[in-house]
Amino acid sequence: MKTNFFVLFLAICVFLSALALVTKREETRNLSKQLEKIESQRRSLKQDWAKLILRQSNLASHSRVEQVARDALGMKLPETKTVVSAK
Amino acid sequence: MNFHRKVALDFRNRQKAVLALFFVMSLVLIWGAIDLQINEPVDLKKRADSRSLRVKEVATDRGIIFDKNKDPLAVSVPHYALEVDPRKLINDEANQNKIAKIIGWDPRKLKKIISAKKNRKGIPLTRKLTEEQRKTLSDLGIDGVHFTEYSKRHYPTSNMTAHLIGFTDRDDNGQEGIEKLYNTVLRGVAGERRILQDAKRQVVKSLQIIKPVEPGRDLYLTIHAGVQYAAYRALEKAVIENQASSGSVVVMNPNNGNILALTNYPSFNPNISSEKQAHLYRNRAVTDKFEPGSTLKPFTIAMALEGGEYVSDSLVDTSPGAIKIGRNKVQDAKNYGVLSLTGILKHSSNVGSTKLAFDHSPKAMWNILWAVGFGEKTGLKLNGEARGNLTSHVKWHPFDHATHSFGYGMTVTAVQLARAYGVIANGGWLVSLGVAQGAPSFPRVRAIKKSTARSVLSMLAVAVNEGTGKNARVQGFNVAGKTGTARKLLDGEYTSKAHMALFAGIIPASAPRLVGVVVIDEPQGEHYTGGQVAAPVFSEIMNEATRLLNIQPGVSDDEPVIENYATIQTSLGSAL
Repeated sequence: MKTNFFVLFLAICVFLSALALVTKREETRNLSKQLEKIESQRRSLKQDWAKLILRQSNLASHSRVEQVARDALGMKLPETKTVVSAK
Repeated sequence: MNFHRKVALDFRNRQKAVLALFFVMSLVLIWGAIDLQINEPVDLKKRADSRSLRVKEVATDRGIIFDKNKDPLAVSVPHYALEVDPRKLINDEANQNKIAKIIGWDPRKLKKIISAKKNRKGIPLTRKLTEEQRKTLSDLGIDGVHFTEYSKRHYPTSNMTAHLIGFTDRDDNGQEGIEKLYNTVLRGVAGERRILQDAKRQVVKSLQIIKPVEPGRDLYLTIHAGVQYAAYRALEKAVIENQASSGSVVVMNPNNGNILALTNYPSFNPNISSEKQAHLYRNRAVTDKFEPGSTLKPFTIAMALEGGEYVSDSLVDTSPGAIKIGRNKVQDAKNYGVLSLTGILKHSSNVGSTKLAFDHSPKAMWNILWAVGFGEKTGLKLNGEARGNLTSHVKWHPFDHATHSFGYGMTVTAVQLARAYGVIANGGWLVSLGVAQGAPSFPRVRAIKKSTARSVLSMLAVAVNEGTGKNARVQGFNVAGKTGTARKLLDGEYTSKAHMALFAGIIPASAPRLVGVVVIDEPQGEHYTGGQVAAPVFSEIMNEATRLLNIQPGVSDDEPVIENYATIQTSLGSAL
C-alpha cells in the first residue's frame, strides 16, 4: 500500500515537472523574444542618438560658431586687459 | 464451350499481367525507400533543416569616441545599400524606371546592368542611399528590391583630429590611430541567435540566444576639441605662411600626462575616402624623430644643478664665443662673455652648454636625458610611435658629449619633448602620457629634484620674457619656454638651408597647467628660427587654451610664487 502511494507521488511529481518544463520553456521563449525586441530598440535609439549628436556637433562646431560670431554677429574676442575675473 | 475456355484463359493472362505490374511497382517503391534511407538521408535532412533552422547574427554598432567634454569625435551612423534581384526585375520596365528615378540614375544605365547580370540573385546598386530615398523605395514595396544596412563612421572634427583618431575600413575595423588602438573596445562583439524561418526566409520564431551581443563601448579621450581646434588652426596658418613642409603641435597637462591636443599639418579628411592617401596618414607628432637643438638646453642646466656644483646664479665664461673640440668647433652667434645659467638659456649659448657638459661626465649628461624620458616611448601606445635615438654614453666621443648638451647627435619626438618639459613643469616628475580616460598608466617617477625643476622653470620664464622666446608671450600670463632652431642633416652634413623651427613652453610659469610643443619642419620663407616661426604658434594656441580651460591670468592667491625669481633677475642683471 505504502509503495503504491509512493509510486503515485512520484508519478504526480513527474507530471508536474513535465508541466513546469513546458511552461518554463514557453516563458524563456517569450522572454528572449522580449529581450530581442528591447535590444533592437536600444540599438535603434542609440542610432538615432548618434545621428542627433552628429548633427549637433556639426551645428556647434568650433569653426562654425567662430564664423557665425565673427561674420554674422560681428563679435570679437575681448583683449586680456579688458577681462576682469570675478572671485 | 470453346468460347468459355477462351474467355477464362484471357482473364488468367490479364490477372498475371496485373500481378506482374504490381510486383514491378512494389519493387520500384522498395528501391525508392532504400534509396531514401541509405543513399540520400544526410543530404535530405540537411536540406530540411536549412529551411527551418538558421543562426542569425545580431549586429552591434561601434562605440562613439568623445573628447573630454563629451563632444563627439567619431560617430557611427547606419546607412543603407541598395540591392536588386535582376530575375524579378528583368521584365518589369515600369519598376526599373521608378527605381532609377528615385536613386537619380539614368534608366538606361540600370536596364543595362540588370540585363547584363540577369541570372544573378542580387546585384548591389549603390551604398549611398539617403534616408528619404530608402523610405520612398521601401514604401513602393517593389518585389526584388532589398536594403542592406551598414554602419558608416563620421568624424565631425575631420582634418583636425585625423591623425590622432585615425579611421576604420569598410568592415568597421580600426585602421589607424585611436580607432586601431582601441578597436576591440569600440567594436564590441556581435551576438548569435538561433531562429526558425519559413521558405520565404521570414523569421517565424526566435529560439535561442547562442551568444549574447556585447555592444561596442564608447570611449572618452583626454583631448579637448576646443584646444585641438585652436592648435590645428594656428599650426595650419604657420605652415602655410612660412611655406614649411609640415608641422606638429602637442599640448599636455604636465601634472597627469593627459594630452589635450595633438595635431599635425598637412592633414586629411577621414570622411572622404579619396583623401585618405598613405603619405598623409603619418602621425608626425609621435612617429617623426628630429634633433631637438636648443630646446634641450634646459636639461643641461638641470644636470648642472643636480650635480650640486652649480646654483642658479653660477657664472660661466663663454668667451671668445667658440670652443674647439678636436677637429670640430662649437660656436655661438656672438661672444656673450660671462653668462649666468639663466643667461645661457636666454641667449641660447652653445659654448655655455658645452662647458657645463664638460664639467660633468658623459654619464651624467646621459642620465639626465634618460631620466626625462628621451630614448623611450611615452606611454601613448599610438601606432608607429618612435623611441627616438639616444646612444649609450660609453660610445660618445668628446664632440658627441658636447653636441648632446645643445640637442644634436640625438633625436626625439614632439611628444617626448612635451613629456620632458612636463618634468620641469610639474616639479620633477616623469609621467607617462595618455590620451584615453581611464587607461592604465605607469606610476610617475622622480626624474629631477623639485628645487632643480623650479629653478629651471624660472630661468625658462626669463628666456621667454627677455630672450629668444619673446614671441611666445601670452598677454596676462607668465610663460616659460625655450626656442630651438635645428639644422637638418642632408646627405650626412648639416645644412644651413633646411631647419626645424621648435618651441617648447610652459604656462602659467607660476603654477604650470599646460605644456605645449610646436614643431615646424623646413620653413622656407624669410623667417626660419624657432623664435620667429614656432613661438608665435605657441602664443596663439595658449591664448585660446587658457581661455577655454578657464586658466585665470596672473598669479592667483592659491598658487605658489616661484622662489628665487627675483634673485635670478638681479643676478642676471649683474652678470650682463
